[in-house]
Amino acid sequence: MKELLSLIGYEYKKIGKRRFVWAALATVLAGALVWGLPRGDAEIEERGVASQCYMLLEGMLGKVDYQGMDDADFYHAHAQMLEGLYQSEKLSSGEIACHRQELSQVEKPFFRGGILGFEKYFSMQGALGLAIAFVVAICLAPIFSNEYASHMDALILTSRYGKNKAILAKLLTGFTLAVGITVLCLGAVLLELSASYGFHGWDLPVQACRTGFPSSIPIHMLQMLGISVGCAVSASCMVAAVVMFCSAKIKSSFRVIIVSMIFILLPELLIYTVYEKRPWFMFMNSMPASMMYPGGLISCRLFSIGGHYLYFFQAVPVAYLFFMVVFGVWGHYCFRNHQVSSS
Amino acid sequence: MELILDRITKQYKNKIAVDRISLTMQKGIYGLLGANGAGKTTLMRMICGILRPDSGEIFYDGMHVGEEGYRNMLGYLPQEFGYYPEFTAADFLLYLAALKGIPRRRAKEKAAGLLESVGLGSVASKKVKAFSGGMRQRLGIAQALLNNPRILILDEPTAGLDPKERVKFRNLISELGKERIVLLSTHIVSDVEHIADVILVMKDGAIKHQGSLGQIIQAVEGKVWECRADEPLAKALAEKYPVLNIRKEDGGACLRMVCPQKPLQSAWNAEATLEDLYLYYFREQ
Repeated sequence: MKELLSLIGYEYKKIGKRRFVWAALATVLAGALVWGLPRGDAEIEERGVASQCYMLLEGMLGKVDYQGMDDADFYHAHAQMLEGLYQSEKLSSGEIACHRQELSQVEKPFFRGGILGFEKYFSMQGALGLAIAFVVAICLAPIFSNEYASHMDALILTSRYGKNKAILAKLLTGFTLAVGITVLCLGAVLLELSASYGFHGWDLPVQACRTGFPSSIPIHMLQMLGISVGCAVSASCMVAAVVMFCSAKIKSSFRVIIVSMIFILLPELLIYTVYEKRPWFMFMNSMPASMMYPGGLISCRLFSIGGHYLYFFQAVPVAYLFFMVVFGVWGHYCFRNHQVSSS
Repeated sequence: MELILDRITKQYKNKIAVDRISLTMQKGIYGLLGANGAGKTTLMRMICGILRPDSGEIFYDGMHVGEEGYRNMLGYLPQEFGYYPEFTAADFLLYLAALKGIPRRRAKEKAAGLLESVGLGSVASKKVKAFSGGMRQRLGIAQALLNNPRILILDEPTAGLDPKERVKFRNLISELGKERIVLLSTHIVSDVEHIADVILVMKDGAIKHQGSLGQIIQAVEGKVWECRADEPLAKALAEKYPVLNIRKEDGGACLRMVCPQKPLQSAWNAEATLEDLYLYYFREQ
């Protein structure tokens, strides 16, 4: 164990010696903190959130008379909006039944105030998550490929731990680094938003914010925050697994970064073109970049597994765990069996 | 202590890099002599377990080359010595010590001692990217010795070293060879001439000659001739016999060549050296 920790320490040292890693991390962190700064009167911003939710209602139901509406009318309109959404999304009867049952458990009222911090965070996490994924890719692309380029592969693979603990150390470094960078960046933003707006409305149903309004899931803001952060960490680890595998296989850091960028960006570019094709949508929305967006995590389209319906945030991280192990083992095998020959 | 190579073969497309080599090595220094492309590096990589032979097996005292225990007893200096430019010499050795499973406290002492012995003690805290080629080579030698290996494989270890450093290195290897198997490959004949217990002459993937210096010199003993000749005759002799050396003199040249019989009446026998053997065998390359 001591040897493994020592080797992990050296892997971090190698990553830390690369200046562009610090530059990339600083850029993302600074950008996130600037983005999270308050822009005006909080009360006006909160009213803006509510009006965005009313706009969603109108988008599905047509013109709505807000002045003449009481609470019961509002929640009835909300339920009708969701029914319209289920029809337009062509959900199965099982999914619709599941959503109706969940909607009945959602606490009311939706709006009381103090949700701006959550609203801002949910709107930021997607793009911030993408940036974090890029930083993870930049940090981890050389983890194996640099050993080939620098001719250190011969020395590593002929050492006692070169074909076992050294490789495990690299993989653990990659996963812990992904977790660390994600927690650092998201944590910094959450601290800033907490200071600027507060998270008083933590126990309000998620339907109180723009992100959760078109959803029937019976969770509150704080739970949604936990789910979003957890999925972001899980998605970062998945990116780390893919990047490390590519690094062990491709042997050029530059090419690994290119492949990683394609892996991260392509689902973002294609998701709206495949929206109507449900299997493709389910696949694209399961990719790490999509899993950074809180709205996508509670999409009304569900996975059906053994008669049970699961949200993206329930099914995809479990699948990620499986694929992380597969890519980790495969990458381990690639580096371990690398044949050192003249370049 | 026995390193066994059993019919090791490696082929790349249409070239046989190593051709069914079988060797049994015990304690001592083995000098692997051969021109570029002879297969020395390929053979050494297979012995180190970083290149899989197409056929054949390698064992050390019953341990297969792929086992962790084998690697634990191995020290290797590759021809293309890799390093991390931003690491200091001390950090680099400590990292390799960690890879070799040496506890940190012992690694610090060992690294400091090795850096002193290779003449890098004063630059231990300097980054490797600031080192000259010779300094990096010495660092490479130091890392190969970290785990006190039973099998020491050195691929062109004196590349980049000046004559004084080369002598120092030869003395170091001489000392090390008493208790371990040392295999070192080189173009530089003087590296192995005086220290190798066994010399292996490798050509086209195969071991052509194997034995002590005295034994393998027999291949050219009595066949090395020196003579003086004017320019036209020197040219004619050079076309007829493999010439090892031509030294220009007033009115002609002094030639050193290998041929089974006396090339000229005035020629005289010269004492054969390992260099003569090397030049004779690798004259086309």
